[in-house]
Amino acid sequence: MTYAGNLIGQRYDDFCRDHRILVEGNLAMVERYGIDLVSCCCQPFSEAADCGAELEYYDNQPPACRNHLLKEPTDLLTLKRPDPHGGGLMTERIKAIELFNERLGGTHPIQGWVEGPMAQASDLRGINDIMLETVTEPEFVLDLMDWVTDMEIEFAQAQIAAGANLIGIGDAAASLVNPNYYADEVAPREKKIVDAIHDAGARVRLHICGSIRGKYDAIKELGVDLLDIDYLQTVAEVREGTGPTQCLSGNIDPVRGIMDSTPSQIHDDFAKAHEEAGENFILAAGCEIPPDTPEENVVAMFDYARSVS
Amino acid sequence: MSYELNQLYDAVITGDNKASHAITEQALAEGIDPMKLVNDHMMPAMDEVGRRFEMNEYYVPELLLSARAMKASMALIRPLMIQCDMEPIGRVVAGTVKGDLHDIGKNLVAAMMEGGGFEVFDLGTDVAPEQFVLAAKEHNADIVALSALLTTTMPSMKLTIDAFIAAGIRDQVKIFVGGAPVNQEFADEIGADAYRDNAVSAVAHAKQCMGIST
Repeated sequence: MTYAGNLIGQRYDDFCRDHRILVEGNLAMVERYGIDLVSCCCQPFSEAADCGAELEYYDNQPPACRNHLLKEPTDLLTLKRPDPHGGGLMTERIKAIELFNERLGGTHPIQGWVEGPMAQASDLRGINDIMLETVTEPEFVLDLMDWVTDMEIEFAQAQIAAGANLIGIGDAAASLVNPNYYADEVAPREKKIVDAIHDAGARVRLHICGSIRGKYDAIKELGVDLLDIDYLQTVAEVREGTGPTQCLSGNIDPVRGIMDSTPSQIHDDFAKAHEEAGENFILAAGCEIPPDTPEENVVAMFDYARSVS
Repeated sequence: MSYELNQLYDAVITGDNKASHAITEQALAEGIDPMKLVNDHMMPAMDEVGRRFEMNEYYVPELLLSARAMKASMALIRPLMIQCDMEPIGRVVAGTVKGDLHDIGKNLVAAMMEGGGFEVFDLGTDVAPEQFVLAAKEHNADIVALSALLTTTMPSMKLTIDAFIAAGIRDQVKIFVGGAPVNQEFADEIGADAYRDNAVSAVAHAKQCMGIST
């Protein structure tokens, strides 16, 4: 995301707010590195913004939300679901998909994006409050996650109708709750989104930043087509936990393993991850590659992938 | 309702802030030394919470709830400590650096530092270097804990350390840095005193800095 924005010399706030700039950044990545997929993911607050949250924008990093929209649990009662075609940031994502289709003509899969139930609940209420309220206001958190799930299903469907082939679900906050809570309350709502995306004819990528240790059984039941792995667990561990047929993506530490590393070390680290994964594996960083990553290190990633293709 | 003192440990472990407050109130009314409550019950409870967090038995909600329970007790104890000139084991100024609004990691560190017996002054997020300096001076801080979650905000950590140097008080504090993109190499490069990748070890190191064996 930020790397693509940097590549075309654009401010990241513009990259997030103008679908044309987002598309140009991705197309520049295609031209320069030959990436295999273009993505509409640029920041986690599009839906929250369209719900009415105020974002703070920066020229070199994703926007942030200082004052969360739901000040009290009762605010959920008056929260209105935004229209994905209502002209806000969700619409920008849909327009990005349409423009990708126009510019690429089907040569590359187009990845749309939605936030997962725990992540979006955190975006709307604030992560500190949500974490406490999973215990102190459990019914509110479940109601909020249900509300979010319905919103994200509609948003995913709109992106698929616009031409997205794959929808990413980002549910970072899910890594912060215990495995029982994840299995009982978060994963069933993620599954609703996954099933809706599949019913609409697209594939699903799940990205949970951080550690997913202890959650493998629940994740296996989701049926996602691609599971991203962050660097906090080994590929070997995730492969054992999810089985041989789950397509995995990852998992090199984007800072220590990509930005601050060397091409030869990157080659070795990717080779190790590849060996641990076996088949059904896509090489990637565990999470967002920082914008100041040296180009030779980014090239090293692609060089390894091409060397084994 | 009457409580047994040993229920205070359980109240913190289970995150029952109403019980921890009630038990503390009762104990103080009965003349129990407040530092006994802190040293013999609450700090051991938070040590256990930290252990469970490291062992993936406790996650963020459980840790925050336990910290809240301890805070509820400390709200009664802190004024007494001030009245009697009782000192915490150290003072920590904590914050997420300028340009960064992420706070969950910083909150975990602040919670565990309080649980470890430190008095914590949490400056929140997007904290300018000069705010850290002012707060460190105002509160006579021993430790300044800086958090960043983005590579683009990490430079603010160096700017903050530079601000302490410019203010002439760099040698009066220990500066800790942490956050997902931060590492030991970066900490060394910018002249931080310590880098830790989790809240529990940050507290252990903070205690060592104060000369307390862990």
